[in-house]
Amino acid sequence: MGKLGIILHKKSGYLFIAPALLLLCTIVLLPILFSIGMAFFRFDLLRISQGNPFYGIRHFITVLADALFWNAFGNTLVWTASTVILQLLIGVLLALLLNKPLKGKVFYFIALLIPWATPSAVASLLWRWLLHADYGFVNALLLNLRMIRTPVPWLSTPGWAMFWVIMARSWKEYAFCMVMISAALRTIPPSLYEAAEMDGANTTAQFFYITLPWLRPTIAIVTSLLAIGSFNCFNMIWMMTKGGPVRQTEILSTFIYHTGFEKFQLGLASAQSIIMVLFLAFIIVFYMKRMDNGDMK
Amino acid sequence: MKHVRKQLDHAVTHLFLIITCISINFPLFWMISSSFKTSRESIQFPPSFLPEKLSFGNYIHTWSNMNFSRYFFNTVYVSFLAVLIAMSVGTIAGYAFSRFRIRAKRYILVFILFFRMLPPILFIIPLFFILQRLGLYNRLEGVILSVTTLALPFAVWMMKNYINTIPQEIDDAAMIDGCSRFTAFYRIILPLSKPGIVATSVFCLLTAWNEFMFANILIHSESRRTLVVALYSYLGDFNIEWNMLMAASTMTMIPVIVFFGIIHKKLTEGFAGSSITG
Repeated sequence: MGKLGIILHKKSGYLFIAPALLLLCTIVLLPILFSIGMAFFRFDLLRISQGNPFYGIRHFITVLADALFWNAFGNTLVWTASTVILQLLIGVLLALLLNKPLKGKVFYFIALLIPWATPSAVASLLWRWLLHADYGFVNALLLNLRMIRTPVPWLSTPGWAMFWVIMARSWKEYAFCMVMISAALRTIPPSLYEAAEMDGANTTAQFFYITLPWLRPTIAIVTSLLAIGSFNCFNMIWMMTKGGPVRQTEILSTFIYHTGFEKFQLGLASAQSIIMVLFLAFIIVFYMKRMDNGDMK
Repeated sequence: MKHVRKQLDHAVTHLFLIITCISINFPLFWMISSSFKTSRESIQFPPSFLPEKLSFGNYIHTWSNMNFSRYFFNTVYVSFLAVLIAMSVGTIAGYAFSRFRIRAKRYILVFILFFRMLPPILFIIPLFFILQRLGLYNRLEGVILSVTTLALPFAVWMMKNYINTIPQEIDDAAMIDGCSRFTAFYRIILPLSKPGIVATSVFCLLTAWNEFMFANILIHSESRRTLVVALYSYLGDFNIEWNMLMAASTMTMIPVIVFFGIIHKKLTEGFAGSSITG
């Protein structure tokens, strides 16, 4: 083997990861750098013929002073917190029930996975149809139960729209939590429970002193992954309400979409998304700190 | 006494789970039920539970008159190529991360994962311009590249973890027998990783099949839409009838259910054997 051959042999690891890094750099990193650059210029497509002056941090100041941005931020917090809590509650409860030695529980498990398999576009349309003001099933059901007197246009009623997008998202996504918690539950050594039983601990005590502490690291990771997913979510809200009515379901990603692709203020949209990512960074750092070091091998 | 209580507890759990499974899947039942209704029946209130008669009219109409077949094949094209690229690039990278000494490996891995966690809205605007410059705007190839990158971090991580479970000694033995690094990878590791490759591909396929934002922004022509974008744009059509829309939704979902069927073993791994012990 010649000298070149040896170098190639030693360095071939880098050769193997090069295509992946190259793709990520051109499609993600490069645009992000551009995006950061764009945030410092006016970059308004509707006024681009009048030039593209350097704006410094003016966009950032505009964003931070924009009540609509903070409205979207507040909605994002409500949306993220509610969807994460709901998914955790449903996911953990179902995982615990499915952890019992029941006959045919694999069938329940698979049946409960189906919403997760639903594409978000399908889920959004489906929920819009269920919630349809005139012909929707939800209205028919609630009228029948005499819980409402006249049909309600749920997705265009302020106050209700957010509730229903949260329900729809949690319906679609809870299974991820269920799968993760189920897997973690399977790793609890039965000897722990046997020892606890010998010591006279009842089921409740076993749950609080064995199951819950064992699940804690998984719950932390699942929570941060769910939070990142909800925080970045665009599809379901966009397809169900477009952020309406009266910006009640406007979250940061739909807000930025409006700025960028409807008002064509690309510089401003970039500044908005950079600030959004700074908020997101808190959740990501939390997640990365909790990741198992063994994963890095 | 204790035995009776346990049986009662199981009976209650079964009952609860059956009710939950039914109510959680009810929306999908409603979708399928609506997809068979006639236009007149779908706008009757209160709605009927089941269609008066089972007719495939909506499916045939959507497939042939609403351009659905076109969108379907666009989606197949995008998903297939995106998965092919993401998996080939991801598998060799995963192999390298598992087997080679790479400087700052830890940081590169975190960096790759970090990309996956950023909101697409952050980079989609410049990406739009870059693809336009490359002549890939309004072309499915542009969507393929973007979707590949969405699936790639996942593919790298999954394949790295999978190849980690294959003992290093196997490579060493192959190389002592005269294999080069590359042939060892190609002849030995690749066949051994097949289960990991299948599962990861299906996950990537699901990502590609369901991707909306890139396909929506990077495609302008109606004839190049993917399924989920088409579904969404049907809504803008004032004449849209919900029974047709539900037929289209059902058809979009059928392949997804098939993919899920392929990986359900992987997902239910935590359940292995438990159905027998119950």
